[in-house]
Amino acid sequence: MRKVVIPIGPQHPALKEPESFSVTLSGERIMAFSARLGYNHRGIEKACEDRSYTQNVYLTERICGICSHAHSTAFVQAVEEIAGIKIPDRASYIRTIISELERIHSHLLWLGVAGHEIGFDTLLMYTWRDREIVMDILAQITGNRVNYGMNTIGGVRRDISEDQKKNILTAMDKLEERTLYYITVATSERTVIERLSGVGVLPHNDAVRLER
Amino acid sequence: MKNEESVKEALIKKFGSLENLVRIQRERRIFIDDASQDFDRILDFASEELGFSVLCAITGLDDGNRYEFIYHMARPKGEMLNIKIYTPRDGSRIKTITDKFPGAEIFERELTDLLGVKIDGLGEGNRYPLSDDWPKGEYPLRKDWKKKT
Repeated sequence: MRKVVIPIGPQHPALKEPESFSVTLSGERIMAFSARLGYNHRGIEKACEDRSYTQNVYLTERICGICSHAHSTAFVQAVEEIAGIKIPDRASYIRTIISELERIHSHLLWLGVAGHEIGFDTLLMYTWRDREIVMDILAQITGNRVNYGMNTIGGVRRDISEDQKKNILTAMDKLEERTLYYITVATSERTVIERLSGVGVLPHNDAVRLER
Repeated sequence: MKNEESVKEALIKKFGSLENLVRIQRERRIFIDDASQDFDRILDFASEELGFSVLCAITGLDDGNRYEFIYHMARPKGEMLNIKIYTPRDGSRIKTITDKFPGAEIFERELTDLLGVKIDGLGEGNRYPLSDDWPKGEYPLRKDWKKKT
């Protein structure tokens, strides 16, 4: 079959951010591919050079909205390692709790997006509705839904009270029940299986070769 | 720390030049503080014999006097071996590792774009992450490059 080169992007409704791809197709098989990335480069690493350590805690948080705490934690842990600072145990637990809550809402978000991409908008609506449970908890503990400002060099900035602890546990019970339902839906719903089986398969040997 | 110690011993045994340069920073984090001398062979040894076959990233830094490149290698259990090499600032050149690590291309493109390092063996390709109309010869991540407002 004749090869066709299709340009995708940089602006395209299916893309979350601008990226430019050049895909060479033969029928429906991708024969060659080249990517042009970097449209959203903001120069944060360079910006960090002009700011103090404390300012950088907040700047690194704003690298991403979905994973803000992870970036801030990575920065703060690097500084603490260089300075030889050991943080209190409770601070370590609080950082982990916030990280885990962030992981939960991030995964629910992407599960919804995956559903949306195959046309399963109901899954998007349900998972994003339940994300709100986590966002409310985070807003209660930290004051914000994203970019929590929880980290500081040497520990965390806020404590979790007994009431907040009870609220977290109640929310987790609700979320666990709903997430188990989504797992059942996503793995046994016939249309989902038919739409996703055999698509975008990465053979084991290729995966091992490309991990380098 | 058993695993980390055995990696350190294996490296020093094979490469005498690394005698005081292998440092265990904390559990699962091992640093080779200067591998500039035998870099190719150290990389091969680490990835083929010691099992550090995953390339996580290549970090390039400018410390004012010279450029430092850190190759972050990992094993499946999360143990990381960070191999550092240094080059002088003027006329800095390093060799590509894309022949053995095809995934290194994007990191090396970033080094050429942001630090202006010449990489021998890296073929033609798209820039990353700077734009196509970025002026030639301007390397933002160098410490002496200041924003022009």
